[in-house]
Amino acid sequence: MMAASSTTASEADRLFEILNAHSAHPTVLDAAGREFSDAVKDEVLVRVARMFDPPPHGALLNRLLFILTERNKPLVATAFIANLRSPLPEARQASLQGLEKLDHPALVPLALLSVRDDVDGVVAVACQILAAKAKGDPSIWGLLRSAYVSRIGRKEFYLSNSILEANGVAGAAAEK
Amino acid sequence: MLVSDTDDQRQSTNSGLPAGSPDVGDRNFGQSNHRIRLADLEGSVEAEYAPTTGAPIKVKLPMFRRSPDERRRLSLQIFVLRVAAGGNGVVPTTAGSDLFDVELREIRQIYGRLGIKVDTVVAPGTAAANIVTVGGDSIVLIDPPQGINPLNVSFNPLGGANDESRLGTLFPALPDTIRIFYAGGLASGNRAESWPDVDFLALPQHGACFANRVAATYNVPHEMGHILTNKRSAQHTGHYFAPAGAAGARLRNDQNLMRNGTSSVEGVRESKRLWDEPDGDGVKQVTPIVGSHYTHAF
Repeated sequence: MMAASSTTASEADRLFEILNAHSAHPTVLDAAGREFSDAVKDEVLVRVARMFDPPPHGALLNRLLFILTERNKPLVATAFIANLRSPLPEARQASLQGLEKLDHPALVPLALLSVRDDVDGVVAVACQILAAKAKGDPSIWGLLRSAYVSRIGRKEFYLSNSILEANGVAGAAAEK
Repeated sequence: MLVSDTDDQRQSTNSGLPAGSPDVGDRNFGQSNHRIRLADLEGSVEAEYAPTTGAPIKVKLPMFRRSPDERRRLSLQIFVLRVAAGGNGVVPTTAGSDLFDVELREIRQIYGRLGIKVDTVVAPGTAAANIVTVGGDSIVLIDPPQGINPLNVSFNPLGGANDESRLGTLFPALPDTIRIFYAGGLASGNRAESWPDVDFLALPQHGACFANRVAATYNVPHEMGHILTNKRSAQHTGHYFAPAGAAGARLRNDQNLMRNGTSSVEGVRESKRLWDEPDGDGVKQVTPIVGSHYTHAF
């Protein structure tokens, strides 16, 4: 990618600061999505996609969807995939959710990778994605069932287990 | 000193006694002359003076003046999205869960300091099957409306999604009541967000907070603070902005409930204080809170 002009770079600094803030009101994010040019958004995305140490935090990844354009979609997807194994659980969760929003073609295999995560929020997103597919795929159903059984009664997996229960994975009717 | 939570109660303090006294210097909780007491806004303070001659004198005063009554009430409508229709809430709602034992306790301790009694209310006509009552507090479980992902509640331009407005419309507020919606995640990536009247009166979610589960410490009390202080988002995003202050002033950012970003643990020095001195933007906190239409006469 070509070097950004100085104007684009300073605007990108400003947009990055908004997206990277500890908290950012949704209306501010919404406005940022409309205010900044596509070139500025792309410049920010390049920066985020390159971040490794420290890794981008979850909220920053969540907020990439506010600057999504048809053209920068592949770059956004790259940033999400690169952070599916982030050391930050919120970043892993945001990445998987982001790929779901993008309707990424590899969503199911990537969600399968996350079922073994040790953080409930990440597992919950994976279960929500997979539960919808599981009814037509006995292998996925079986995996979710096994995951549920192995974590049953563990409060730290309350949310993911609740999602599996709501989708019938826990019940006898779900046995396949 | 009277305090409203056990962290403050257990803080060691200087007795103020002169040198030579056995209790000189810092005294710890449980020791003689440790003079911090846990108080309740409906409680009272009693003092007794026993002169060397004559009868002892006793005075008993309520914590907050009664006539006129200094105390205020604050009602909350708490909604918890279910993971799917008929499923569990996105957060546990049983007795002993953090929602009741941590979140509501923190809310009561923080606003109790100002003489505000917090209760929970449910709109008339709410189906009994959706109401969970624990220890006198009631919350409402709600099925996620069609198109709303309970793990990713949006207010963003993707497909025009505006879940928070929809929820605000579908679950309207009782008069002068703050609504708190618990989701399994917010598309903004925030731990929580709120819609104060001053900036968002025209929106159906005004006076509401949206929280990503029962997250870090003081999270929802902070969002309630945005609604109650009603500080414009144009002024340091509605957050506390420490004043330059005179030498020795202790109106620091880190201990204020409305700083940008709350503490992650509870404690004496954490972000739980509200003050009535103007902040760097000239905005007070206690006066607008007790004067807010969201607080009612006791």
